[in-house]
Order: sequence, then C-alpha cells, then structure tokens
Amino acid sequence: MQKKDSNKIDQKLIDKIISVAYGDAGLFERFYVLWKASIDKEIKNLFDEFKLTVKTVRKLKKEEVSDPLIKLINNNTTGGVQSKSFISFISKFFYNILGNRAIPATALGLILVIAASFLIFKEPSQQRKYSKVEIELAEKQFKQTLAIVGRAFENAEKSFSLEILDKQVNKKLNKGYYLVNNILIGG
Amino acid sequence: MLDNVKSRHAGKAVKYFLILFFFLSVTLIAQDDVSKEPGYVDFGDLAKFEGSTGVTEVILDEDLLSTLAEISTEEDPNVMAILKGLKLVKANVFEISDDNKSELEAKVNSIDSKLMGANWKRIVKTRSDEEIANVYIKQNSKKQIVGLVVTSVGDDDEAAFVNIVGTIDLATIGRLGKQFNIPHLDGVNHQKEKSDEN
Amino acid sequence: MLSSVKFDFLIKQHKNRIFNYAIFMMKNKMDAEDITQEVLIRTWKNINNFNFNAAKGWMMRTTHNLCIDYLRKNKSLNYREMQIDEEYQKEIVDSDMESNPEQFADKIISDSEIKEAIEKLSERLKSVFVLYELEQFKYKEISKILDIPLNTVKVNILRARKQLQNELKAHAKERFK
Repeated sequence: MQKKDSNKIDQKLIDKIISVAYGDAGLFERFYVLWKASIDKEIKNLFDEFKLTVKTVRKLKKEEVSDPLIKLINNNTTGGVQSKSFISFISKFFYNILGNRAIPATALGLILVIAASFLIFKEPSQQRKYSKVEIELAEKQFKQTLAIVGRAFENAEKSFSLEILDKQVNKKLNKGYYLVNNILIGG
Repeated sequence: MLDNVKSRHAGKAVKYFLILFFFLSVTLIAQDDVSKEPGYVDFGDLAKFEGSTGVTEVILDEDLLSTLAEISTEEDPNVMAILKGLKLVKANVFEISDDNKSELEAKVNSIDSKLMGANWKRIVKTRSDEEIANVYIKQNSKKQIVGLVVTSVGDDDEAAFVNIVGTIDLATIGRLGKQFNIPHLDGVNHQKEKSDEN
Repeated sequence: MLSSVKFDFLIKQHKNRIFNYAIFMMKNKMDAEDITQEVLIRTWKNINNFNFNAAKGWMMRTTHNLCIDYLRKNKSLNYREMQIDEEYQKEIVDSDMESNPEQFADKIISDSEIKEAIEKLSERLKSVFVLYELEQFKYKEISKILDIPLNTVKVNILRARKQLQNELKAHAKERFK
C-alpha cells in the first residue's frame, strides 16, 4: 500500500466522516464530507465503508426474551395472577396505548382539542345576514366605485397620458387610440 | 433495528410537529385579516378632508361582497363574476374646496410615492390643469391582479381614493366602469355611508 | 393491583432492551437471561419507588451494573478484555483508517460478523456503543446510566465506531485472504 498523504485524511476529517456516516453530523459537516468524497476517491471509499457498517449495525435483529423466562419472572414477582378489576383494565389500556408518552400525548391532545374548539366555535364570518336595504345600498355603492374606476380610465383616454404596463404592448400610440381599450375591452 | 433509529428521531419529529402546528394555527388565524393581503392599501389619515362639505366612505368586505354575488338583482353576469373574486372594496370620496384642494393633491402624490415604492404598477397617469388621476395595480407571482388603486382629484369637483382587493379582471372592471358611468356618487352628505358595521 | 399492571407494562417495554444489552456485555445468552431475570425482579421490588420517566434509565443502569458485577467475578475474562482494549488503543491512529475497498468490495457484512465485532469491543466502549447505536439512548441518558461525564460518552462512542471499523477490516482481511 502506498504511503498515505497525511494531509489528505487527517484525524479531524476521519471524525467528520464517521459523524456523517452515522448520522450525527450537522448540515455543514455533511456538505463538507460529501463534497470531499465527490472530489477524492479515497475519502469516498472510506466514507462508503463506514456507511456500510452503519447500515449493517442498524439492521441488526433484536433478540427476544423467551416466554418461559417471562413466565418464570412473573411467577417470582406478581405471582402470575392478572387482576380483572375495572381499574386494572383502564390502567392497562392507558399504559399500553400511551405508556411513556402519556404526558406529551396528553399535551398534544389538549392542544388539538383547543385548536379544534377555536376553529369550530369562532365567530363565523361567512354567515352574516344582511337586510334588503343593506344589500341594495351595497350594490349601489359597488357600482359607484366601479364608475370611479371607469372614469379614471376614460379621462386617461381623453388626455392621452398613459404609462404602459406590459412590455408586449409597449408601442407608440396614435392620438386617436387608447391602448387601454385593448386591455380593458379586450381588443 | 431500523426502528431504533426512528425512535430517536421520532422525539425530535414530535417537537418539530408541535412547533409547526403552533405557527400554522397563528397563520390560519391571521389569514382572516384583509389588511394583510398584498393588494390592500392603507391610505392613511383621510379624516382631515372630512370638512363641512360632502364626504362618502364605502367599505364592502368579503362577506358582503359574496352575499351580493349570490343575491344581487343585477343581470349582468360580469358583475357577479367580478364580485366573487373580491375581498374588499373601499372608497373615500371628498368634495373639493379651495381649502383642501392642494392638500388632496399632495395626498395623491404621497400615495403615488408609497405605491411606486411597494412594487405597485401605475398603469394610468393623467395630469392636466383641472385634474389628476392615477390607476395602479398589484400583481402576484402568477401575474394575476390582486389589487387595484385609483386616486383622482378634480374630477367633477371630487377627490376619490379607491382600493379594490382580490382577484381582479381588469378588462371586465373597466368595461363595467364605463357602463355604470354615474356622474356623481349619490348621497354626498355629512354622514358616512358605511355598509360594514365592523 | 395497579403495581402489577405497571410492572407488566415495564416488562413489555424494556425486557428485550435489557436482554440485548446483557447479551452484548456477557457474550452469551444464558448469562444474559440470568441478568434479565435479576433486573426484572429488582424492578418489581422497587415498582412503587419510581415513575415511568425514570424507569427506563433505572433499569438500564441496574442491567449495566449487574453485567459489570458478573464480569468482575470472572476475572480472567476481564483481564483479556483489558488487554484487547490497550492493544486497540494503540492502533487507533490515522494510518489505520485507510480505506481498503477490495476488502469491502462485496458490500456485505453479515449480522454475525457485526455482532462479533461489537462483542470484541472493550467493555467501556461496548456499553456506550450498544446503548447509543442499538438501544437509541441519548448522550445524557447514557451519561446517567453509566455514571460517566457527557464528554466521555461522546469520545467513547467515536472510539467505539473506529474500533468497530478496525475490527471489521481485520475480519474482511481474513476473508479476503
């Protein structure tokens, strides 16, 4: 084997490679190692070897404690008797479903209930009823507002002072024409 | 034992989910506020123009506009089509007097600076001895028009500040505007004609 | 009544964790079963003295301590492990971390190879490696279970990973021959 260039793969880099391979590394470290691996074959090979190890470690099957041993333990502890009371049933349900996550699960549940209540019971903005007078007035005002808009365009047409919106229509105007006609009326 | 890897990350995932959920809730709550819409413009303090002569204020919110869209007696389908995309229509109209004309013009210019600085596009600019009129639009990333502003002074001795928020079909609005060519806003009076009780 | 429900739950949650840790430490199932039984009996005796959050750490600490006790009883085994530890300590240097792609060319490491390599780690490195990589404990938890400083946990995990890699390379070299 050739003597390795000690500057290439120093201890720090090895530590980083291991960190990235095992999934511990921060984002910057990850990019750094991946970049290094992309430009240096030796680093890439080292990285791949570690990744292979990690993959195998994480796929290891867990051994199971045998049932006879559990029975034996139960006999030596609880006496092997299962209580059939309602409280035990509820407790079993609680522990088995929530278990160690009882507190965060309860907290999450509370947040969801509060959020759901807020969404359900908040004042509906879409359901307000208006009187006939209100509707008629609103209709009139809407048209009047549109009229103001229409007048602004009409006045522009008359005075020929126009700033063009779209580059595609950026062309000189004949005094008799008004480009907004093409925009507004659809040409 | 891949489960083992997942279990450590699951704890972090729950934390991130809770944080995300919190911000999502805040966003959902904030979404009702039309003033957060990109097409919304705050014209600032217009109260000083509410002199002894006429003033009209129109505020039609999304609720009212969608109700209008459903039950309006207007036969023109274009009106219905426009209404459905809108979230807010507001207009302030003031009668011009010798006292307030220059201030109104200054207001129009300041709104012009504000909008030009905030990526609005001015598509109409009219200048003459008698009047000033500007029309602006706001577009989203998909080039849809999501806001329209009209500022005018001098048109029939009135000054108007209009802001329409929502998905706007400019062609249709312009056409309809000509159609409803009402010379004056009705009911120019001392009282504000507010349709929204909010 | 509730104690037995609680105990039942704890057994379900932690029995395999205890058993697997003990297997790696003791290197045989029979001793591991003895330790598992002992840990669970002690858990039953203390069932009312701790809450769920503390149970996991307590049971693993008990498991680890029992393993150490067992190992100390067998001094010759302990001595051999210390020797291996020192030997590998010297070998964990840069030059060892050169890649040998031919040896890893088949891209497969069997379960038994990995288990053997883990078992060969020194007791100190093996305990942190198994708790962190296989049982998914956090640094802080491991620090409490093994009663060692947090930094030591991190350093030992890194060393364990390097030593494991060396072990696997040695194995692969043998195979390659």
